[in-house]
Amino acid sequence: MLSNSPPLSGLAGEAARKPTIWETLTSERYFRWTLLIPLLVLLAVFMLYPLIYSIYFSFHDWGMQGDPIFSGLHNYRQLVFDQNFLLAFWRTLEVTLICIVVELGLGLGLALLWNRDFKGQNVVRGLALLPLLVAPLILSLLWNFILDFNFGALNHILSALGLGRVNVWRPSIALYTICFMTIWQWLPFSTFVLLAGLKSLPRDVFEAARVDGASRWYTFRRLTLPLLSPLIMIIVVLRSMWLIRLFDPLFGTTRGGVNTELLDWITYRTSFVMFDIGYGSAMAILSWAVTMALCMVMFRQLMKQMAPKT
Amino acid sequence: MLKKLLFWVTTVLVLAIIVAPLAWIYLTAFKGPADLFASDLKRFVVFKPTLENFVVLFRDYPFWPNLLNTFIVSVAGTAVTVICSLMAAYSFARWNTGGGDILFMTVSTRMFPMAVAAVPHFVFFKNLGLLDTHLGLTLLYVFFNISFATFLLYGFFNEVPKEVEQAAMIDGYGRIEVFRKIVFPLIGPGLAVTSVFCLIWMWNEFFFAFLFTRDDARTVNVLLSSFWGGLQVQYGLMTAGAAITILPTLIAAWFMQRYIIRGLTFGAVKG
Amino acid sequence: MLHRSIKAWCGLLLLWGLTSSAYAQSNFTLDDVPALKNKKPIHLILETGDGHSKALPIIEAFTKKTGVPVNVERVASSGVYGKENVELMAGTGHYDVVYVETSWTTEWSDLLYKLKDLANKFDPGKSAALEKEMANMSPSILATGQAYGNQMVLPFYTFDMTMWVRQDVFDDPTEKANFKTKYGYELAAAKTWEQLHDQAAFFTRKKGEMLKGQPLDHDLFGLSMQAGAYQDNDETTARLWPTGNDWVTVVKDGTGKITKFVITKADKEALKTVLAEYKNDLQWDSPGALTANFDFVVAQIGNGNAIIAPTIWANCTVWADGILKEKVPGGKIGVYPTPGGQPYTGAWSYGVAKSTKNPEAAYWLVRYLTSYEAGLRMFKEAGLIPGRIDVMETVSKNEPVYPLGMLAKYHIDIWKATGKYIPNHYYYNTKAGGKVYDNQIYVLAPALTGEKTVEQVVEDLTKQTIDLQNKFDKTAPCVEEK
Repeated sequence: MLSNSPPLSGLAGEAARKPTIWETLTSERYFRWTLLIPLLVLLAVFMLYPLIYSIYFSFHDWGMQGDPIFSGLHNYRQLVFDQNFLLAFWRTLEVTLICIVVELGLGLGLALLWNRDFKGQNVVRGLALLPLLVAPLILSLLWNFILDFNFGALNHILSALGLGRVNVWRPSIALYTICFMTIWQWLPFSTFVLLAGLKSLPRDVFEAARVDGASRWYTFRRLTLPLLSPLIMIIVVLRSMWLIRLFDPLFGTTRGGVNTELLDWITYRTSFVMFDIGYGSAMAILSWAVTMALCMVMFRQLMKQMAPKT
Repeated sequence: MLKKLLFWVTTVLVLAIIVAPLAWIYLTAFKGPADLFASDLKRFVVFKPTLENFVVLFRDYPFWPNLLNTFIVSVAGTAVTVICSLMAAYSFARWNTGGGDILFMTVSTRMFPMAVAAVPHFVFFKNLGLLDTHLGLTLLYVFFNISFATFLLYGFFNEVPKEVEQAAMIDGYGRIEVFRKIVFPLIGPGLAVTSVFCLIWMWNEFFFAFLFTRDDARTVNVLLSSFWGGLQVQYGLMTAGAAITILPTLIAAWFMQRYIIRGLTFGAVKG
Repeated sequence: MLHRSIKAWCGLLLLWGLTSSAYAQSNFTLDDVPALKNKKPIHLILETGDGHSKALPIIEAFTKKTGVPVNVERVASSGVYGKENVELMAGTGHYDVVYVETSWTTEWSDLLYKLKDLANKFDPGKSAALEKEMANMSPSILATGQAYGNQMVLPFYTFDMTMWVRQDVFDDPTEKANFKTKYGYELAAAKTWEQLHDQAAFFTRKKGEMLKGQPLDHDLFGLSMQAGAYQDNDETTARLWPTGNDWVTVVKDGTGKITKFVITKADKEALKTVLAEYKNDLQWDSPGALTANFDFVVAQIGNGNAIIAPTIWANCTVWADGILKEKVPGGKIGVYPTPGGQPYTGAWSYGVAKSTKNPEAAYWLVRYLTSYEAGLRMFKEAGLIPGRIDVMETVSKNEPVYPLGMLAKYHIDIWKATGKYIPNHYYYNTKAGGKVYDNQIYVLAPALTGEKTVEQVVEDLTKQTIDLQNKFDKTAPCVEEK
């Protein structure tokens, strides 16, 4: 990469003078690092401190009062056998998978549907973007009301149509209700990313395929999908990062009850409702390590695809 | 013709599912307490609208000052985030600084369960006197968003061919000038998308705003969620507040729509 | 939903305002507060909600009289613990007056002033004046606000549980006759859980069946309970205490010092029995009960969808009655002790943080917020029930029987009945109270939804409670009886 550097001929004549700090910072050699200073400072201040703190307390018992008591690996040992934690972990993976698959599928469908010029397209797209804009937490409080068995709008409508009421918070389906709320809010994201992708595809290639008499399905499978694959990858990576930390939909609805406790909720309630800081820290560290390992693989793949044009 | 019909039926159906809950927010905002729990379907849509919720919200609660706080924090936060991540993303994209490891490290901070970080952050902020200040909350929001923003912008910088920059440097432009005059104008859509995402996220954040503010810097979401009270859920006030709070992001997104659609390719689709 | 009743009470309040001077002489009022030199502002949390807003004029009156500004932060009750805990533990000194749910009193006892010490320092009448004032308060409620025998907080409003029945339905001759024919005894508010089961089954009816001689236009449920992951533990407590057992048995020596916490075999067996019963009772409740909080129960009763709420907060009565009046003409709620007679109890209370910069003003504000004057106002205007016997007596004498007089009488009786049990209950003797309490909510829920068996849940809970108790309360060991 360094070989790309242009010759520093402009500065050569003044080399005798000691360069000022500004010149050093913007020099070809250091500029790349100068640019990173704000980012690295922020991360160091805001990330390192809590990280060290969490690692420290994960080896201690502490409930925010008195002195922390060293407990070695006890918290971690307890965690590995904690059924609630393991279940939460499993559910989180389930939710992540369901949401990503559905969002991608429906998103691609809608993107293909709306990838044309039609009357009122701005209005349609503007409306479709709306769910992304509403605060997720407020939304969960409102969903709770909408979906309520006796007083919710959904059941009013269903019973007026003679369909009978649905209890969306039955333990067997409550997790899917959480998925629905999440997908409802985030479907516009994948839809718009894929729509943007479709719009930027090179037209001449498709024109050529059409002239060659390729079927629609063939074009879609052999041209559209491969060209969109980097975007699909991006959606998968970003969405899994966010979904692993899914929290808001639970806040106003089940609060982790009826078989819906997710990873971030159990961590939250351990470290912030019960203030069992030691155990909560162990949860955070362990779940962070695992999610990082999972994302690392995907991320490497993505970086290859996104590598700069040369 | 059938195809066109099918297109519109699908479109309208999808929009209905998307818009219905939002329409419900706006309907509820204008309902009096008696209509709120009404069980017959007609009263659900046909009711006597009242401004009572709004009147109470404005009169008894610091709605406008809190909305202003949200505005200050999210706009300032977005500006700082975008500037810092622009610089970092440029470095990552142009020189592959750190060989991808630093970038991954940056992105991975977003995967840490932040509820656990809240307590150490709180103690830290207390020592710096940053609790309940706009600056404190802004800094936190910058931290939360910078990793994602950097990652987004990284993709856009990749789209700008190096040759353009090299040519400009041969013409005698300095590093800063190349960035300002050549690269910056080329990533407009990327900037728009990044800003809108940061803005929406900051506008809607709740947990840290709840914990790190008291009065002076309290944001509107903290106020709205507090209507979910111990003895009573004030859906009327909550929806009235939400109805107004959504508007600014709605307007921002509407005007940026064109850029968003162009920018959401993340610079990843290569012809 | 409180609006309507509030408006009605405003008129009465005016009347009361004119006549109050007659009562005022014997009661603590703002005039009894000495001049305060320290004018540093006081910060405190006030819950959100229409009802709690009625406390704002009371706080303003305090400022007007003393010249001490009071900064009120409105927070939903579910957020109070986290917010205050962080501020207190980080030592910011932000909250001068601390809003406390009584099960945390012991946990926070190191961070709060003993009220007696403050009285000795700032009250012209010394601690005797405070004791005189406390003599007017419910002993059982006061006990929930003590730590190791010291009064740490005073009750602002209480959350005694009660059982609601639809009085109009229970008084209906047709229903009474039908019930007697079917079960062989009179229909009256259930004293035991067995009676409750009969009544629950009796009143669970389908759309089209009759109630009070009229065909129903919706399904009717015998019961309404708050079995979601919010208060399922409180509902269980109301079932557990009457068995004579507790979550954890507190063992004290002759001097009253705690020597041991034991989860006895009997405790575990009792818990298994009541959980199985609780789960069984859900068959007569709406499916929505599994994610329900109290607002759901209020709506169920208020809309005439359910007949009995066996374990519900008494301070929601005025709210539910307001809805019922509108939705079900002639509908009326009756309040009774929960079956078994030992409802869950406690209070949202105010205490003084040790980190306050103005302990004197904080002390007097706590005194005033929990005074007769403030309590009466909160009760009449907002339906919130103060922990004061004198307020209850005034109301039961001077107010219409329904609903306030009825509520007042209920509280006078229930406080007498439960006063002797409360100080021994586990919740009010442990430093791990806040943590164990919150953990119960999540551990119990799967037993009710059927995700886990009752036995499994009781085992989980035993293990986790012992763990938390030993981790966060070092005063005495916690063990399981083998």
